[in-house]
Amino acid sequence: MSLPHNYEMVIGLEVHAQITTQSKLFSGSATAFGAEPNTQANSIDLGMPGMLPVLNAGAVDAGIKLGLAINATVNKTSVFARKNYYYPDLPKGYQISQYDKPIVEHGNIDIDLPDGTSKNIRITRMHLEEDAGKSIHDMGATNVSYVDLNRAGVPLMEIVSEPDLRTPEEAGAYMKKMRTLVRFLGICDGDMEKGNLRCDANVSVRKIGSDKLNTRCEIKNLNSIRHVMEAIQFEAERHVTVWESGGEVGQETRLWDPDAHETRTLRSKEDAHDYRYFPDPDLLPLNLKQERIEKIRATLPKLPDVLKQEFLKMGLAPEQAGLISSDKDIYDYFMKVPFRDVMPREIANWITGDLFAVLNKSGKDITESPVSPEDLGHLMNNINSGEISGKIAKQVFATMVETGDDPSTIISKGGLSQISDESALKAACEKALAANPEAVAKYKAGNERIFGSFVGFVMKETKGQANPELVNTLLKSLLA
Amino acid sequence: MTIELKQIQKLASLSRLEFPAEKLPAFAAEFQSIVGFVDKIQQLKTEGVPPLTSVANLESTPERPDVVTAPNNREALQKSAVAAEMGFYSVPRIVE
Repeated sequence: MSLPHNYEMVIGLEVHAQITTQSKLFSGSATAFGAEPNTQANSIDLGMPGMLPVLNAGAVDAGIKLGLAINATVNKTSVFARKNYYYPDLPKGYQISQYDKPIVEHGNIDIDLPDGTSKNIRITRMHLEEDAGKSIHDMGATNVSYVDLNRAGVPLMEIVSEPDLRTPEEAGAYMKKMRTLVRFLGICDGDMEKGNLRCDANVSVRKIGSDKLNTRCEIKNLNSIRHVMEAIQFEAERHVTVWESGGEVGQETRLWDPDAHETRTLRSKEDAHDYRYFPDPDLLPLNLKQERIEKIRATLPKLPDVLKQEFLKMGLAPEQAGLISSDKDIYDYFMKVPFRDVMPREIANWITGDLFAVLNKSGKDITESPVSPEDLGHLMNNINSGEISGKIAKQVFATMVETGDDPSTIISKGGLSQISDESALKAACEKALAANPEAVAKYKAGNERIFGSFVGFVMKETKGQANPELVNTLLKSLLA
Repeated sequence: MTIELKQIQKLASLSRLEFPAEKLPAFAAEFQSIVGFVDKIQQLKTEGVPPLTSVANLESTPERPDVVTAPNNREALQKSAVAAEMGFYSVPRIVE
């Protein structure tokens, strides 16, 4: 995707990630997904008079984790502020957020681009805030909107990037990296379909070579990586058309309509909200001790960039190292496979090759894999120990997928063990030579390529179960 | 700072409040006296004095462990709502 007339895009993303806490940011209500409406909304979430918010330590810890993971400054003092606006799904009349003193500032992450290169993207800030409730307009009576406050008060992290992204692909890669990061950290499930990870995109365009920032538009609430990329592309093209026709792009908040494949005006600058932020008098500043930050640093898991390097060192191909380190589910599967240390590359090959093929065909996720990591590891070990050949392993694997049986059961039931008994194989080899006197003569006359036909004969004779290395050795000594 | 009628109108609209035009001058006068008081306070020299965010003598805002402590209390809470239906709070239809 590109732009005409030597234009480039200037893109910044604001990612909203729902923190996976049990309870809300300022109340003891549950945050479980899919509960009956308003069964997880207490008087604090409802904004009843006299109710006081008390900060969830788990959400603060999650914020510190993210800050450390993106090489950012975790501010020793941050302040919760009220963002004032009126909407029925915000019963207090304000959202508790952070404004001029967020918990995290000045971070950066490396994004991995499709061509194998990476790019560093600066992160301006991350602040903690509470989510609003949900309004439902298209249900029941036409003159009524329905409000579900289960989501009101659920903790969010808003992660704001610098306008360092230049293409929709980079924006997509940024979202992917952010999703991977929060999932490895265990602070957000990264589920974009449920809206647990979503983003607003700020888009403007300029002539290449210029460092001027033109008027930007903000596209709200993008809830899939594809939507992020498509909306940015559309919006940038729209800007180019406006500038090229001598017009001027107005600062606007817009919405992406995936069905019509276009962005539409939600509100212009004149109608922009005036949030009248001020420090929330119900909450004191959050002062963090270095001790707490260090304690959390010590619990940080290994993150994707480090894991990728480790996998490369273990001998995995770059593509596989990238794949396994960038998806928490694949990573978890890989880490559960026994004998991983003995043959990491082979196991990675089977996961990204045979297993992925099966999963793709059945439309399943690796978490629903018909083959457990334990069984896959034992299958690999059976190959490694010479119990079965690689070829037979494919057959055993297919049966594992079909029946869910473990590999040793399948091997013993089917009598699939590799024949490594020298005397039995020697007999088969002798038979192969005796049955093909012409080929033997040719081989002895110098046609070495014909050697394969002897191996093929032995394999056929043993139903593919002969140990191929042993067959080679035996044939060579018989032919010598 | 002088309070103008325009500002009163904007504040009212932000607060989703509606006033008849003849009431606005009275508001302007009252706001003017409040702002005048703040103007007076702002004359104090505060250079070098850190902003006071609270009079409570605490190191940091209190935190609680991440545990669910609030049971479902929907029935009782919806008794004080103007209108509720199918478990939802219902409000005059509003679409942004």
